[in-house]
Amino acid sequence: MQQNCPCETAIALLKDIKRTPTSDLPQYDSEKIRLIFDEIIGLFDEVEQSKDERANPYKACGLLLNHQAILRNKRALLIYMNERINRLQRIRWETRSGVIPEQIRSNVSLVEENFFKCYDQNLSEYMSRIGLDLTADLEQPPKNLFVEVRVIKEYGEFVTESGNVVLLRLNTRHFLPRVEVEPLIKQGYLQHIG
Amino acid sequence: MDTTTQPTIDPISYLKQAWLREKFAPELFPFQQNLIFNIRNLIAKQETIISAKNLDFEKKFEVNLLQMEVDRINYLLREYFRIRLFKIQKYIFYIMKEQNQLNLLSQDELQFARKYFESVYQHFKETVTDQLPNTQKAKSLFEPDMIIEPNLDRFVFCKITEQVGEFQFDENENSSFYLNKNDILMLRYRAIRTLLIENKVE
Repeated sequence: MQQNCPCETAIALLKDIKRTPTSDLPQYDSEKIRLIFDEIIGLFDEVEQSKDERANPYKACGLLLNHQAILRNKRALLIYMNERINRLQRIRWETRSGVIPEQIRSNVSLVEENFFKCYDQNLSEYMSRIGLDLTADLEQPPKNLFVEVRVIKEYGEFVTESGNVVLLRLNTRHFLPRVEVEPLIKQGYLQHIG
Repeated sequence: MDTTTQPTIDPISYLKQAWLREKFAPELFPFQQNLIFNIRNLIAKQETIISAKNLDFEKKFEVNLLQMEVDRINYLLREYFRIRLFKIQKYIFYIMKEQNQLNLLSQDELQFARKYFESVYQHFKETVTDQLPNTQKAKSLFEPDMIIEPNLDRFVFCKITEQVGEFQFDENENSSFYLNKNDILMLRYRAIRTLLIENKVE
């Protein structure tokens, strides 16, 4: 199935992913990707057929066009893949966990899931080698040692590093050290006030 | 206040400078092995002081301040490592291709970079090139126009820290400027690159 203009599907694929905000990972578009690969194979067959007639300037032109179209499709595919793994990496940094969030799980292909696991492992190993958690304090330098938080999800008893036991009941407010509080905020148990 | 806080001033400004360089320059700089090592030692020393003083209730305020200082320096340290890591990730194909780039990485970064490259290369191979026709050009992932290189022509702000005098930017033979100390300029990164290496600019 040859399209009117080669690489149309590729451009549509890229436009789709460009439209979604960079924090989201849309569905892996296997349909379009399959079409693009089919197109590449079709173009390649044409290239192979007309290779012998290179001397003919009309055929040579067509040959060049098909060849360039294949390369362009390849480039588009690589851009698409690259963009997706970049977003996956970003998710790893923002959620600070090696688990793909539920909403996105269905949008990720098997190969991408493997990549995510590999990246997570690589990153965790690196961070333990240098002895620093690089995903902490992503936005700004710490301003306060203690922060005021409200419990939005029942947690129960929480033991701080200094040995104090705090009972985190729903809707109570607490004044706790920032380092203890950060992971809990990320997981959704606490909410920062002020 | 505390005699141990005095010696930390100089390495900290070096760390800050190194961090700012990595942050605003498009390219990667050599890993500051000694600087990082010194700073982490100083932090460790301060932390032992903190745990010692923590037992004394009257020193609570002092402990808080020391802890705060440690936290903020740790943040700088983390930022330095983070920015470098992101640069490594972004320019991974370029770094792997150019031999001299690998020298800028620390041993740990090198290990990370190699593994990262493997996983990205493998990913592209499985998703794209394995299903392409078997020609060399189609299969190659190292095409020069596809490798992301640091953009040395990006515009940056800089301040001259040492008197430079006549300086010729290499694009135009005719344009040479007189650069005084404390001048602030905005221009293409490539032009001030050599000055940066000579520490005349920040």
